[in-house]
Amino acid sequence: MASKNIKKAVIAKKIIRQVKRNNARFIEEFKKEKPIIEAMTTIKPEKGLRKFNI
Amino acid sequence: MEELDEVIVDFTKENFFNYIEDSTLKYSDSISVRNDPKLIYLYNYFKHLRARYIIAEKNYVDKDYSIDYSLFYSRSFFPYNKKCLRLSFFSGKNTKEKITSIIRDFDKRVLEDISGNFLGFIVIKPLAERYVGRTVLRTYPNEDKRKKIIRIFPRLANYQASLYGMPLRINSVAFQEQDKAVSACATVALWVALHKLRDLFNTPLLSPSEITLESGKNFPLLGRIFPSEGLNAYQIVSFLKKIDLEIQYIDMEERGQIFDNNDKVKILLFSYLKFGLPVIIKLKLCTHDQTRTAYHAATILGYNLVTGEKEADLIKKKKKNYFFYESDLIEEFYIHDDQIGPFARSKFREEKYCLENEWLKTEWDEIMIDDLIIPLYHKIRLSFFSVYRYAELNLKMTLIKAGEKNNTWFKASIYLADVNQYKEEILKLGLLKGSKRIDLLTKSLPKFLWVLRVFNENKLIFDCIFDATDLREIPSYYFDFQ
Repeated sequence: MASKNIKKAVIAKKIIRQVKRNNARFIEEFKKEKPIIEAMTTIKPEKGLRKFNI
Repeated sequence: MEELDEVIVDFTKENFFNYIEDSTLKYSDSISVRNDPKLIYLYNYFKHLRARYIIAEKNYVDKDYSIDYSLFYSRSFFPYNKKCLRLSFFSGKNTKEKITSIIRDFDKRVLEDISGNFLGFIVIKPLAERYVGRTVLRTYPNEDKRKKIIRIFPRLANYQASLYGMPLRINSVAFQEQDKAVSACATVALWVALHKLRDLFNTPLLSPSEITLESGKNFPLLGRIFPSEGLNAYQIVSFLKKIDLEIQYIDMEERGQIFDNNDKVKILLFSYLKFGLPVIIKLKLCTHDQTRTAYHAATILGYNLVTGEKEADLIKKKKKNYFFYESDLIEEFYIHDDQIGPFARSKFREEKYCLENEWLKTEWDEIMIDDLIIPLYHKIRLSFFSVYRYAELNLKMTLIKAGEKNNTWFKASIYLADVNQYKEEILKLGLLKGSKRIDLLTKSLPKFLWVLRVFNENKLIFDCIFDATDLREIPSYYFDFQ
């Protein structure tokens, strides 16, 4: 049991180190998605004027 | 005492509907009262909570209705009543005796007993076919062992109902139905949201007529303000901005690759609901042949998570991919829908963005999520999408590789939190030991945080913390709990 816990501790540290290393690449990849997200989070006039009245 | 005995009656279908029928006689007929789906829903809700007694207060003055009355009904020729009926509900075998005894002779312990058996109240408005006014009910029990679920209603508002001098407390979120005069569904969805936002961000509580009026003035349209013809998205947003809030708007028609299935929508809803934020959901209602379409607004307030065997079965399926989100464990959401009732259960159908709830028992065949509007404090600047995409594009791949290599699986959750809520969690979960624990608990952190939490086989291993008050799209802190 003790050895299993130690193994997991190694995993967590390794993962954090790895995701930190990937941060710069993530920022670049995320930039490409920004137009899609902007389209999703902007109210378009045809939808914005639609009334909710049921 | 004899009179009081008459006021406390047994909770039966007959007594429940008789009270409502008596108070609305001038405006409605018996058939429409007894067939009203919201009243039937409420009766069944109290039955589910094992209600035993009803106490009726005639000539009850309700603040919301009084304001609506002064802004609309008082100027009608028809003599609308200014006062309402309030029905309070209690469980417990001897509650009737306890209430009569406490009025005779005050006893703190008896009051606590009565308070523990208080299930909430309904205000009945003296209007035709739109009876349900401010209604505060106890939520469904959190743990349901039979259904193998835990129901979660984060940060309920605190209400105090005073009955014959007895202060009765209840944690809930107020509900009411639209009256078609000063409010339609969108006004009521905002009214419900305000009841949640007051405790979170110190925003004001306004009556339905005040909300409709403000929305109509902030974003004027050619149509009338009263009788309300409903609000549009611009009016909802302009109202929220007027009370100094910002919003996160999500157009589900533009979901594209980001939300290509219902599980991904669950990640989004979970992330805001866990913090206690109300999510205003705009629904598109269609018939099978798509010849008829209508739009409706409601407010999501809670969710459940499967437990026990159900959880084990789900994990068994999900762990094959080495990674899944905590929100995958959600089976249903709890929605204040003014045309169904409070905490109405809604689950996703297999079809994308389609919900299954009481609406499908009406003339509509498809209920689809059209838009989401989430009211936010202005200091919450970092969007959900930054954190979610970080999880998808960076963390997920790393965890899958680690899972394959070590034959283990990971679960992640994304949620918004404030620093107090986050530290309280750390404190209660007993995470870390000694100086590491003190360092974390005494660390100066931003007021609002996005938490990206990682579990290894249900054991919390680390948090990636994003500063929600900033625009930095990568975590500001990584807290390793091992």
